[in-house]
Amino acid sequence: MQSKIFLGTVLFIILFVATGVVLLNEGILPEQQTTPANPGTGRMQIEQRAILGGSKEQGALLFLGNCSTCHGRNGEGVPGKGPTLHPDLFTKHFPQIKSTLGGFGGTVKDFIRLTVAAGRPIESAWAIEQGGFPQRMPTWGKAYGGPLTDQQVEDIVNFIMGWQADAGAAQVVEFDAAGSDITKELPAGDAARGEQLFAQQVKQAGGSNAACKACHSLVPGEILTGPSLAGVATRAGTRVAGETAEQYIRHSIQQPNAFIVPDDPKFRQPNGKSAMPEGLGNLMSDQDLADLIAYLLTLK
Amino acid sequence: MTPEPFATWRRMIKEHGLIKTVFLRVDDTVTRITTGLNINDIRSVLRGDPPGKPNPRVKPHTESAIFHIWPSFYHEAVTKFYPTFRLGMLSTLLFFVEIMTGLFLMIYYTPAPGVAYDNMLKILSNVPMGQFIRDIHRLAAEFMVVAVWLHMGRTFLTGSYKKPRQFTWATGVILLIITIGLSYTGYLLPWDQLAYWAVTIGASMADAAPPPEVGKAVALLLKGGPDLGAAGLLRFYLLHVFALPLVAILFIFVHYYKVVRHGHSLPPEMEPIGEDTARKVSQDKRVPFLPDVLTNELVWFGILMVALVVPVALNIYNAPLEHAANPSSTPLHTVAPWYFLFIQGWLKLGDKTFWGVIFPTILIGLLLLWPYIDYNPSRRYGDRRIALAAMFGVIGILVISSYMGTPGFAVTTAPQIEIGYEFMPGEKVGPIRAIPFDQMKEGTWSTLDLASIPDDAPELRRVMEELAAAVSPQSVPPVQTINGQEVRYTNMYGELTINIAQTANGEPTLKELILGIHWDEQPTDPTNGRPGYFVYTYVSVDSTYSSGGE
Repeated sequence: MQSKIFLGTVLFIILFVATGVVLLNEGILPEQQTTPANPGTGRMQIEQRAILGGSKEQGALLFLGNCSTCHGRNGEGVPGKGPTLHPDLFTKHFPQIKSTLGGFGGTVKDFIRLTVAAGRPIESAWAIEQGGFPQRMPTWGKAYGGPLTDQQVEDIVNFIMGWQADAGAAQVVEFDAAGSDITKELPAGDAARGEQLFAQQVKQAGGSNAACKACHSLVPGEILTGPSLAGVATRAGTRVAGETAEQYIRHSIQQPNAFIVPDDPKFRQPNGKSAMPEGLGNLMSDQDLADLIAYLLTLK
Repeated sequence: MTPEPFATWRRMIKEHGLIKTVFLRVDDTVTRITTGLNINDIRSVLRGDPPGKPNPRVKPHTESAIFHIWPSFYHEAVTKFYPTFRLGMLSTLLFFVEIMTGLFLMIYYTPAPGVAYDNMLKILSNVPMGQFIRDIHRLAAEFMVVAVWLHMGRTFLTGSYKKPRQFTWATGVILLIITIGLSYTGYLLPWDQLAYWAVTIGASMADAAPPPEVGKAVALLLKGGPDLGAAGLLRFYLLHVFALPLVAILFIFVHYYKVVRHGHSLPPEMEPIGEDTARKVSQDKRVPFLPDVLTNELVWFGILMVALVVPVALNIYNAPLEHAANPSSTPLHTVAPWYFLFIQGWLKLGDKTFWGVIFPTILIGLLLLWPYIDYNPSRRYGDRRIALAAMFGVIGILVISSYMGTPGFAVTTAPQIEIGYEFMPGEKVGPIRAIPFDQMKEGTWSTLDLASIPDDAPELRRVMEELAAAVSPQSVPPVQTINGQEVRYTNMYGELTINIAQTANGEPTLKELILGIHWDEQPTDPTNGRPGYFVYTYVSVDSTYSSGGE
């Protein structure tokens, strides 16, 4: 009897001590709280960060599977497909929204959530600046006819928000862009490097991949968005009277609206412009342009 | 006479003085609360003194609503650890632990898809003691299923289901089914992948109930639709927090009333064959409930609570929580809750209707009717060789069938998928995610070149060595056998590519990990157009995988 009372007392002391230790570790003490300077040290604070981190992990996987085709693996954007998210979204696009659309009262996070969930039925101002995108942002949230749950949309939003910390410090590469000027003298082209550019094995001077293959197949007759480039070297000289193959290809890259191939209605956007995006020249140097042209001229 | 305020107090103070009056009033209050024991009685209980005559410790059994449920004395033979092993009492205590922790969890829970999972995250990250209570609720549920099964096994072992306790046994079988039902309905409520798919497997049993029209109707009634959704979650919730506990309380009272009515059955070797003497307890064999049995039970309650609280407090046990339920993505190797694994094992034998519904129903029927089938009057172990052999046979069959229910048995996918799942599972943590964040070194690490792994990443090296062992020809099973010839992958190797996906102030905050499995004549992976098989994952700097988190 006495030994049982003793044992029971010990057991209940263990019970209360264990519960008390758990309570003190939970994160309810003032020194465990999260402040701007210090991440909180309580279990709940650690858990909050882990949950946000886990959401970003899920968001990154969803971004890779659903978003990276048009916005790039690292949010760098794909010309002709989708605008740059990292860092332009934080440094340019959203500030522009706040200054021009006075009615939008939300934060950048709200704006991302809105865009991911509800898509973008009309073209945005910055999209037009980047040369326009023939496809609109589709709707992703279930509430707007998309495939993703609220939780999944939130995961993607948390992942994209992960770029914000470094957006201000992002490197802006200074280089002499080819632009839309077709009269400049180009250096001698290197077809082998041009092929690497096309295959996205090396990057353009601006730091992004050449987007050609997103719309142009190398399989004869296959139309992705633009015409197949198989045999372009032979065809190019016949398109516009007075232009050599080299001049025509250069003209098409730097000023896509000057001549639109009439073979398929897909090549022309509803607004009458070419489906080939404007402004591709802004992302490449003269050398990049010369190399690409040299490569394309080998596709006889 | 005009009523005076505090008339009794004034009269007593006049008679006894203030100090004695306070003592008498306190003593009176204590006696009222304990329904019969005053301070001196309690003191003598704690000192271990024998009770006075008449025994004041019997009074609570007649006066108190709580104490009248217990008998005022037990037979000495059933107060030892054998033959009861305290399993019935532990099951009941666990049921009340579930009710108390469950009430707490209900405060923070909404049974709606999309909200329920978010509630789980809030309970873990925003409710003080939330994780603690949730872990205990889950652990106690597992304990309860074990305790109830063991309680039934014990009752069978000692032959306590025999006359006059046949009906007690039947209510016990029903309580076992209710316990499993409670655990199973609770399984769905977090609405994560683990819950959703485990319950989907179980609920598909309802579809198989014959005839097909009935199966369809039962499944629809249970799930609230063709698939588990909002309606199904609400139904499971109401079963879990209302209907099943209500039935359980009813049956617990019937069951316990019968136990008290017939007395705890004595160890089989103590009784003459065919008789039941549990109610005839001679004076010298009586052990009073107050204080001896109660003290014993309180100690067991303490042991149980320590067994629940300490593993949770030390983070040895954490209730699992996977990603939010996604009805459009089935994780690899989905399994039913462990106590249903044996049915999942039977399903691999053939027809779903027979093995999933008819056969288990026959077994439940056999269990319910067993006291009437087993006509042997003797409870002695030596006289019950066939019954005991049958019991251990059934236990053996359940263990083997449960093993058959695990993914390791007769479910094989291609080796590269199995290795990818082992090292980077879609839902659980797996070895690769558990590498500490700072040891996830940027670069491509191959099992062919383990020497190039930096020395300051011992965990990365260890996992890559494990991966090298997993892709070695000794551990990879043949893909298929054609005409007796085993077809195997040749020159298999693994590659782990680690990239920095996001940074803050130049420090990595999110890393991309790509596990590539390669072999001769490998096909192209459709996800990225490269040859080989690839699994992608991301790990955040704030993750707690390396310290046991999920």
